[in-house]
Amino acid sequence: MSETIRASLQLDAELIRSAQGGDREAFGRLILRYARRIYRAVYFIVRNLEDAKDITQETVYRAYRSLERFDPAKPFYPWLHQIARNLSLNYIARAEHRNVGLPEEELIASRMVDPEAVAIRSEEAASLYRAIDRLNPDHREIIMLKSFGDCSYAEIAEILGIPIGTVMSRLYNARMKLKSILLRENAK
Amino acid sequence: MNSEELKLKIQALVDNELDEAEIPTIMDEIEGSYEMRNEYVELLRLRRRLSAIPFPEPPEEWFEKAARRRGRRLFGWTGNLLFVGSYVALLGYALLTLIRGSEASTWVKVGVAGIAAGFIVLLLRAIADRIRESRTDKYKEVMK
Repeated sequence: MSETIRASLQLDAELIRSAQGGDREAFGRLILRYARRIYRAVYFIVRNLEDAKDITQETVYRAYRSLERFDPAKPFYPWLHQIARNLSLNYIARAEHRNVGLPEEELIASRMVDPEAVAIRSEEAASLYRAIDRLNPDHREIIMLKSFGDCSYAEIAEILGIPIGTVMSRLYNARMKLKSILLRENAK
Repeated sequence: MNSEELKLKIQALVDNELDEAEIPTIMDEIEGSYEMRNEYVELLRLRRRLSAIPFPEPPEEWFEKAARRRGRRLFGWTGNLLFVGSYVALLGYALLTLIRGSEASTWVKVGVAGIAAGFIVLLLRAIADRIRESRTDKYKEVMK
């Protein structure tokens, strides 16, 4: 484990202990360290900005309520991610909220200026999402955790409950599969 | 190290997960083999492509607020508590009145008994679901 990761885990543990002792500022700092990653992981599942914001907020609330029972010796992000994942999956399981299509292109577009660049990037994003959606669930999830959740191998291992060696081989196979899907798409 | 192991190490290098001590050896392997160099470039390209996917993201201030906003649901819970509490109190009163021998019609008695039974069944069902979920979830402390 690198020094940076060790220091980060140590900081988390300190913030968790303070938050468990009632320090709300510490809880805010702790969440702020991971909020963006959580939002991205949620967005990847629900594919809607407002829903992703709501679920991220709900994740923060649930974490706050359950923090007392969390063991500070354990890594925090996998636990937080699991809350967000459960909430997101429960959300899309409800038929009235089902929305797993392509991302909101108009929102992506709104962040860019050049119309041509907007069109190219929207098509590129759509093509990538289509390819990812064609992966099997295990491969899709590991790609999501690595590329969008920005998880380390150790965090992925903790979240999925598998050894790091399996994380590496599954991630590699998922990438190879994704690459071949993208190649086939481009050839069309 | 066989070819498959080497590919996994190259992937770890691309992901910045390789031990520092191993980096020179793996770099030598990459430079010494066309296949492995190609593998490295392809993995790097895919990683960059995925990380460049545009996300509609809220501004930084939203994340700061989200991290500090915890009591937002307090009103919601108060509402739930008031609703369920009043419902149970009203139901209890209705049952008590019936048991004490009210002169209400049989239909009213059956209706109230049905509502009470339905409430109990739903409650038991919710508890059973929670127990089943907690048995299959490795993060038992997490509320779904």
